Amino acid sequence: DALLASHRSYRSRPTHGIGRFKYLLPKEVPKRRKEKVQMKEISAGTEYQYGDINIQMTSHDLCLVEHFAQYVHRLCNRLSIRVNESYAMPTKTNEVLFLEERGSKMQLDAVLTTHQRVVQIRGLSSTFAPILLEVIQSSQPEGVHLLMKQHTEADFKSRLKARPELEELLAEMS
Amino acid sequence: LCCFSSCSSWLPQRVALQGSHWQSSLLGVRTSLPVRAQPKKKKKVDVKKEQAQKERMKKKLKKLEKAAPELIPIEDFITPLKYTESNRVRSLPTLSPEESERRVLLLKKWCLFKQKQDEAEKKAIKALVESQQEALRELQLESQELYQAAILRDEGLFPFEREGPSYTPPLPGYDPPEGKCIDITKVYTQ
Repeated sequence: DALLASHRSYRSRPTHGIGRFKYLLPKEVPKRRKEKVQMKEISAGTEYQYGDINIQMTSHDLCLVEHFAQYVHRLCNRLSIRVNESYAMPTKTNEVLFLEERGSKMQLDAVLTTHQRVVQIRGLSSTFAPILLEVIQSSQPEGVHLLMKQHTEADFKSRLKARPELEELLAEMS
Repeated sequence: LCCFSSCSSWLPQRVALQGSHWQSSLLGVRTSLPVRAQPKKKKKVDVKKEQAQKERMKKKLKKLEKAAPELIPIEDFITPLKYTESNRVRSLPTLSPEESERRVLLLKKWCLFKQKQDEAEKKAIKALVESQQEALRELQLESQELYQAAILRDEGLFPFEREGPSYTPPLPGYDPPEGKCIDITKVYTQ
């Protein structure tokens, strides 16, 4: 029996841990698993506080809208308003065609891109909301369309890719 | 008399029994019908095929549902390849000391201007908040009900929409050419 169990190294023996080598290799950083895109809980807010509010800034000018979004984010940080997320919505491209003066053909005028940035805030108090609105409006640059609305699930779903196969199957099942 | 009443009380029961008996016999007749061979086979095969199809669809659904939904990639943040392929480097012209001096002074002036602007904004916010707080305190002293109503959140505030200011006012009597807009955004599917 002792012969059969001889593969165990005894801790008192000098040959203990003779096969160890992993401690010599460089430390491996554990692989980060891809975090699943899950919708965060939408708070409804109390009587004296608004819930999740989306500040959506839309414009054709990319740099302007980005800088304005950064400004709004920093303003909220400075006024200690909690910012949940600050993300970009997918860009929309439009082809503008106009009818020529003499003729019935549509002429390509330009290709316009519309960019949108969203800053999501939570816990805005009812007394401070009009002040914040005033400040943002006073510093609104030209050509930037501002929209403030409450965050809904539909807003979150519009950021995700369409899944036609899943929808087809669901329609078939029901 | 008593026998009559007993008979009358007994009759409807009997009728009910007969009725149920009749019904059960009919049911018995129904169950006896599909005992015959041919129509049963067709039904079995159909049912099995349908069940197999349903299971396949359920498996497909499970597989698709397991895959997490992905966000649409934003084209703004992806640099087009043509800007990374070329190796040409721009060479800037050397600046004279006067020019660099002028630029540094301009930068300092701009920093000061921006600082003044920022401070003015902070001061304005502070003044607004203070005046609001004072007004609310006075209102509380006046009437508690109105104060409570004033503190409640305004449902009509959101959604709030505003267009940015324009460089020039709209031209009077401008006739825009007719045309249309076509949406050519790329549709991503998972």
